Amino acid sequence: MAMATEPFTGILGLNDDCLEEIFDRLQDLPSEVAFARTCQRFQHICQSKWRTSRAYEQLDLDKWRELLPNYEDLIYFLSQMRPHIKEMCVSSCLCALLKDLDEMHISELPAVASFYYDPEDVDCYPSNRSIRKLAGLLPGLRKLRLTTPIDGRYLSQFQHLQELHLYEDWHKAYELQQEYLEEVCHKLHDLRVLDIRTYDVISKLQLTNCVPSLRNLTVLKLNLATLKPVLPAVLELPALRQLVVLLDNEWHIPPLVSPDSYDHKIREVSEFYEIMERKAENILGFAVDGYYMPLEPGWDEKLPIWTHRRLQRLAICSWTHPADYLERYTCMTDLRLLCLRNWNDLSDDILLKFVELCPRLEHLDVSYCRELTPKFLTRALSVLKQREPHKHKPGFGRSPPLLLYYELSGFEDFVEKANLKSSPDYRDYIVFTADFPIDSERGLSFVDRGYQFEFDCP
Amino acid sequence: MPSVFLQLETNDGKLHIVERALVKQMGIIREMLKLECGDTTEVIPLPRVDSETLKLLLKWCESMKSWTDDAEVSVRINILKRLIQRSGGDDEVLFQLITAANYLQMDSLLDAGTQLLANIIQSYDSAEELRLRFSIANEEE
Repeated sequence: MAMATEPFTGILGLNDDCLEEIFDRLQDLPSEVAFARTCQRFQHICQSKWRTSRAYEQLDLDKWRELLPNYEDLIYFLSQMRPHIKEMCVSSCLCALLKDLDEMHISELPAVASFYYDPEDVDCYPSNRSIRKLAGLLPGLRKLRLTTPIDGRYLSQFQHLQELHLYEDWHKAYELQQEYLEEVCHKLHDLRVLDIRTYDVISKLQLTNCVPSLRNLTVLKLNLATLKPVLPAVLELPALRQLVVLLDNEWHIPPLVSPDSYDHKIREVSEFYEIMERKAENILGFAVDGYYMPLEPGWDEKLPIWTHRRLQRLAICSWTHPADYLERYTCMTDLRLLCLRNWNDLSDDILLKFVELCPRLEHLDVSYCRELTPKFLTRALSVLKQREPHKHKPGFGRSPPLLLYYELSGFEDFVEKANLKSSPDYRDYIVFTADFPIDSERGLSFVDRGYQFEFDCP
Repeated sequence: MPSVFLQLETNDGKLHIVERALVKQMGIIREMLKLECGDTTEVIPLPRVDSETLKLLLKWCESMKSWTDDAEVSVRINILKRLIQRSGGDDEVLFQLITAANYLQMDSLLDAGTQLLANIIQSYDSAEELRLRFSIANEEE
């Protein structure tokens, strides 16, 4: 007699710890599935491991098919994971995927909160029938990203939807139909984020009948044409924190014009200034694309935000004029993010003033600014060290380091060659990244072809 | 001055006198010894281990003594296999060793034992084959 207290002998005599150690050493999913199907006890062990594994949080049917070539194994695994899948990111044809899930008798994925459709084959547009099926399949969906052309029918069946993202910066054959946009706005009471921008036509969507229903909306992204008739009402939305405006553009460059001298500016600025005026005391941030917006020196001289000085986030990109007036923004001592991508004339001196005078600065994005030099880095480091000399010592209050975005800037080569990312001298003070701030566009501008505002809510 | 030998009592009441240095590989005993001040002539009880298993564990510890760094898992598996073969080659021996290694906190043996068992499981293609191999009843019948 071996274990006096154990009721089981054999492999079932092993405790859960030991069985989990064995599971961890199985080398592939088919072995894990065979193990799970042996008996209830093993199934329980495998289930808890699969369900907490990040590897299977997202349904990726193509990948799972590869991992489990045996169809029965695949069905088994799907039935085990069905209640726990949290995300779907689909790049194959949606209609085909829904048909496959049907054949496997998967009619509902109750825990999926986020569905992201990014088809590689641009000819595979989901039909309305597929959208309706999808709404039935994902009853708990909170976040939907669907950038192929759809007319919007059945979108309102995603009853718990909080975020609807319909925009991608490419050509789209058509946008939502007005009646379905209204249905979405009236029926989706939890809607917080709505992105109905269309890239290359003048949008015909209207929000006049919709705005009264959007009481919970915190983020609105839309074309200027849609915003124009409802601007005052939009600015009155009680929960609105972010407004992103895409300037409508018909891509028609007259054939006899030279592309080099063609004026890309889209001369639609009255709404931009009206927002500045109406919401001055609530504006915490704004971003503007200098390539498309007709900003001339002195454009910001008389803005009402100077009175309030509340700016925390500022992005002015693709500025081709001298940087003389930039220095005025150093009075915004609460600045946390400063993005000055693609400036022709940004010097070390002016940039340094921001480091000196804005002590709360956490993000500094100077991507594509070729005029900056490596000297800026040593000078900035010196300023930061003088302000907080003991940052590297434990026990001292620590502010976060300055995150410096340096892609294709004047000191990019220096950062790479001197390996400043691992430098102990800069550690705790400046962190270098050749990337872009999380909630911005990638590329020459923080916000493409338009502008964006951030507000606080009273 | 702590004595060179310790007394371990297995769950069948038998007393085993073992070298202190040998059983340092048993985490649970290391912990117990830390709590003792100075020398102890107390008997250390191991209520979840029987004599036969303890003898095998001591043989394992003996084999591991010569490795200053942890041996590679394949080497440890071979040592374990030989140990099991010499004790009759039954699966049950392996299960007892794994369980004891888990209880006594013998990481290197637990690693080798569970890896060996995982390798065995891996060599079968289906749940049915695994049930046959390990004599598990089919719950669906």
